[in-house]
Amino acid sequence: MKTYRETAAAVAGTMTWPGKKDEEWRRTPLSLLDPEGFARGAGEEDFDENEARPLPFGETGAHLHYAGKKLISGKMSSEEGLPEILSPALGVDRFPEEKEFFYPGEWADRFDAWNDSGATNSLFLSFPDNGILRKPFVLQLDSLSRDHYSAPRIFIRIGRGWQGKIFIVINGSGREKELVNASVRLKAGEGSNFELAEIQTLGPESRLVQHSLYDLGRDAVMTHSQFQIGASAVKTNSLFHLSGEGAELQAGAVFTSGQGQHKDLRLEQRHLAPRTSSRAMYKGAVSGRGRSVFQGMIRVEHEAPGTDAYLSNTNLIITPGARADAIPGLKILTDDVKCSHGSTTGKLDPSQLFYLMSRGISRSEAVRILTEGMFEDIISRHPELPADWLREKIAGSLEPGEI
Amino acid sequence: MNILEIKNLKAEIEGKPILRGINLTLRSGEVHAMMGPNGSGKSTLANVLMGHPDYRVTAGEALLNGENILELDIPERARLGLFLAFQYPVEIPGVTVGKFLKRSLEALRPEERVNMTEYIKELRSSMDFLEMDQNFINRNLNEGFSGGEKKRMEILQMMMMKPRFAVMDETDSGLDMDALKIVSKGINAQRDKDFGGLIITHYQRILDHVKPDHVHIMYQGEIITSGGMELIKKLEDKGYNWLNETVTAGEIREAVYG
Ligand SMILES: Nc1ncnc2c1ncn2[C@@H]1O[C@H](COP(=O)(O)OP(=O)(O)O)[C@@H](O)[C@H]1O
Ligand SMILES: [Mg+2]
Repeated sequence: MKTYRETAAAVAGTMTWPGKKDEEWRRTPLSLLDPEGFARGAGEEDFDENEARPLPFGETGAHLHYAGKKLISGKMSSEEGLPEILSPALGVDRFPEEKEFFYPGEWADRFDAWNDSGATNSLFLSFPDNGILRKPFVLQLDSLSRDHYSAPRIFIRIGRGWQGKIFIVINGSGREKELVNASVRLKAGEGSNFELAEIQTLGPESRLVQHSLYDLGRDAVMTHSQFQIGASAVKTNSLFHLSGEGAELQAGAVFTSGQGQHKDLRLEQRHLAPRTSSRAMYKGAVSGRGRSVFQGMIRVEHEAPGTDAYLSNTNLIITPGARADAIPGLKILTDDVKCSHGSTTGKLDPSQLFYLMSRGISRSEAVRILTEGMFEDIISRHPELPADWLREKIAGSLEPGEI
Repeated sequence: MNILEIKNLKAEIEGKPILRGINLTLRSGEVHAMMGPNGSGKSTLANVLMGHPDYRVTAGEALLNGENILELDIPERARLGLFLAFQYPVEIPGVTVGKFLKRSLEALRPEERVNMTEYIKELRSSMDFLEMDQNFINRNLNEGFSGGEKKRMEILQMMMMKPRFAVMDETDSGLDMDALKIVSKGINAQRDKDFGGLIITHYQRILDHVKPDHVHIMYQGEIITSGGMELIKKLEDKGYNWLNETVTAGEIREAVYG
């Protein structure tokens, strides 16, 4: 019998790369990601681990810092509520009822299958039932190699009633050049209540493809944010499944495309159970000749009466050569739902600029203040994030060279 | 002593002439009042001095200690010591009052390092003085503020930034009696030998609390008369119709200057 990994490889071999004919890929040419140009996975000999730097998180419950699958440092406190860290195989042995979720046996596209077949770092994090983690759990994944791919595969099982905060950072040295093909699968147990923030700060030559599936069980409450700041090209698909009655999602995103950056974020809020609610706020800013694409979809299945879903997307065009596209959509298969979605794209308000400049603030600083201000409500959802570091990264993406 | 000399200033918006040759000299130590009916060009003057990009200066100059500020960009004017209290302060989402003020003080005085302890202390005492809740420090600038709170915030900024010259555009409008007294107290606290003020107002009310040294009346883009408190009395008795009745600015000038 074939292993799961071999099956994934065989399936990947039969698939073609996604392309223009696939609606979701229409605005992102495959050449920007260049999967054929990154055919070899990054091994320990392909990078210098001394280039890895721990990011400036404050007090943490744990800070696991990997480069590839090499653990650079692993600080673990004795806090209750910390996860068991397993391999995916051990994880599903331990929790056989979750096997179908973590090993579904089908893949969304060739990148997804490739992630399973070529994973360079696989983790299964199991957060204990009824555990309460007071300080954040930080997982930092550094890319350090050049011309290799890396494929982190992160499985997260949130025990019933677990409470806490999880931060995952996909970070680069700045000099690296990797195609990061990431996959996150998260299953949240009944009544859990937690934050998950994902931050991507790869260097300017790297690219990111990411498939994510977040499944919320009965009465689970998740605040999810993603910060897509780095990399030259980003293509993500985040699927939120509200599978248990009463589940609640608050989703947010900050994405920036400065000179030479292309970001394509897709999000789906899929309601599969009664009385579930989801609110998403995706905010982007583009400058230089940067480009962003936002694809949002609210899907309410027949089994989900009483759904309350909201999706908003705001795009700020900082300089005239930049471009932001937005494609929000709704698919509602039941009655008795409250759904709304909207998208606005605009320039900076000249009267706000004038006001700030009249207080001695230079134009570029005023632009930065207004841009940060726009993102502030998402950043402030996660008070333990290193906000100043994040703001610098955001500014650096939008004004390359100035930071 | 600082001096701001506005000479034959003409400006237009969208090709429409608004200011038709303003002459006005402010010296530190003085407070001037600029009155005039709606639409006469008072806000235009304030905005042109600060450098609002919608207006085009077609003639004249504004010399701050001899330097023509009309040739400077907006932040440079602020760094030279010009301050505008806006008629309609703008909301800045996501930027707290505390953070905004710190950044602007750093921008205004790049050579000094803002001492955080001193800064917070001064900010708190200025807020106390203006009877503002300390919670405003952590609120987003002007976002959801009432009209009166916005005007107080303008005066708070003025107190913190300590400009050489402040143009206050209808800082009194929309204020109830108590708020008007507080705002006036704030302006009076600024008055000293190093500060010059231009209070733009539609009503004489505020001038009962902040006694101006000079009063000017603007009408159709010109200062048609200047004088002292007696002009205010005249307006109070006759209202702005006193101006309208007299048909054109030219005729008023004749009437006033004889
Ligand atoms: N943005 C603008 N676009 C067109 N006209 C304007 C604009 N701002 C002011 N004006 C015109 O300029 C004139 C003077 O306005 P303003 O300076 O606001 O007067 P005041 O402050 O004395 O009431 C008015 O006729 C007004 O309609
Ligand atoms: Mg006005």
